[in-house]
Amino acid sequence: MKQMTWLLCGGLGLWIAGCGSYPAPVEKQANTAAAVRAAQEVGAQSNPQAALHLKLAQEQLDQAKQLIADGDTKRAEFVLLRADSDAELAVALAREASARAEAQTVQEQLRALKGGR
Amino acid sequence: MTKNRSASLFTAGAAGATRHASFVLRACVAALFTALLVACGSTPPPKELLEARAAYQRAQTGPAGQVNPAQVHVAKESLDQAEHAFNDDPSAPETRDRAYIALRKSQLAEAQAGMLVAEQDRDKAQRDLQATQIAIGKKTQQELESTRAQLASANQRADAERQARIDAEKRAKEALENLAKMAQVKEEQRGMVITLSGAVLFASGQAALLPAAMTALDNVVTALKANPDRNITVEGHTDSQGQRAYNMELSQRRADAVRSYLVSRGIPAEIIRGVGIGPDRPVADNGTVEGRANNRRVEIIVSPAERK
Repeated sequence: MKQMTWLLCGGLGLWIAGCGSYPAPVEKQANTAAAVRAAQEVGAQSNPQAALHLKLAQEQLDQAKQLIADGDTKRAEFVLLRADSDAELAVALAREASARAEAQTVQEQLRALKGGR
Repeated sequence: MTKNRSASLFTAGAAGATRHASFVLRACVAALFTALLVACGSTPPPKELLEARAAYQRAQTGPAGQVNPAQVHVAKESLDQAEHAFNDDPSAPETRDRAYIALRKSQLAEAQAGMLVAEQDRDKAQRDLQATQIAIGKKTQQELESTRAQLASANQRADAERQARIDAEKRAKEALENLAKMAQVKEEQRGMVITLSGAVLFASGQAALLPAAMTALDNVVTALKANPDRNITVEGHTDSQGQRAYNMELSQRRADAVRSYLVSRGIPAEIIRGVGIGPDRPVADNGTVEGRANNRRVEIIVSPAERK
């Protein structure tokens, strides 16, 4: 009986210690989800390159969720980092595309104005 | 570099372990270990790392190196971490993860640089656009102002012309008023008839104009100039005394003298003719001195020009 109690306490202690070393990356997952939403908000879907990286980010976010569910939190953290880098890139690509489009619009206006005279 | 260093360390250790073996054996074992370790060390880098290296090279040498050095530096650090992970454990999934992330950081640096360049292009185009708009605005303004100035000067000219016309009419009216003091002015069927007494214009029996006549005729000229579209007939009249042929000839000469004077003062010769009527159209009784004086006269008839 006493042996059993010790074993239980030790097991519990080990379990807690295990959790302490690799806690589920809840915060990181939330951050990644936010980064994916940010990419959607800047219109990453409308640019093919940005859309590709948004898709990669989403897929990796899903993969990380699965890994967390499976208990592989260490792996999940790296997959979340991958997803972050893709979401960040999707945002930058979408912004680049819209900046290019804006520049082109103004350049066309300028050409029209100069040609129209 | 690190790999070679560790390889030689291991080689040294291996050589120590076989201290008591023969030189040949030691050499053989050392060679074997070295070969084994070199084989281990030459684990090919993962695709992600190769891509990350290439992407970093592209970012560093491309526009990102110029306009976005901070993010290129971040990419460099990320690549260093990946290289480090590769050195530690070439086949670990984390090595591929870090290489994947390093690749994305270089791509990020390039995308951000692309955005910065596009923004610069846009800003420059916007400045050019504004400058062009201002230039066009100024040009339009100038054109508008010059049109306004032209219009104003045209208006001024029109005003001046109107004023000149008003002045001319006023002068003509004044001249007619002055004329009325020394001549009789009547509106008749044949036009405006200005009757000048013979005594004012000529000495008895003469056809040369008196100085006083010139003042009277100058008023006639002023009045006529205000109405250029006219035909003018100058008629010389006499009383019935003396020979008719003489009177006819005298009246013609007097009419011609008046006509010549009017022409000399600027009335076009082609609109004036002089006619000698003699005693044929008396206006008063030739039986009295006063009547005869009234009959000795010159009539200037101003009639509207016939349309040709």
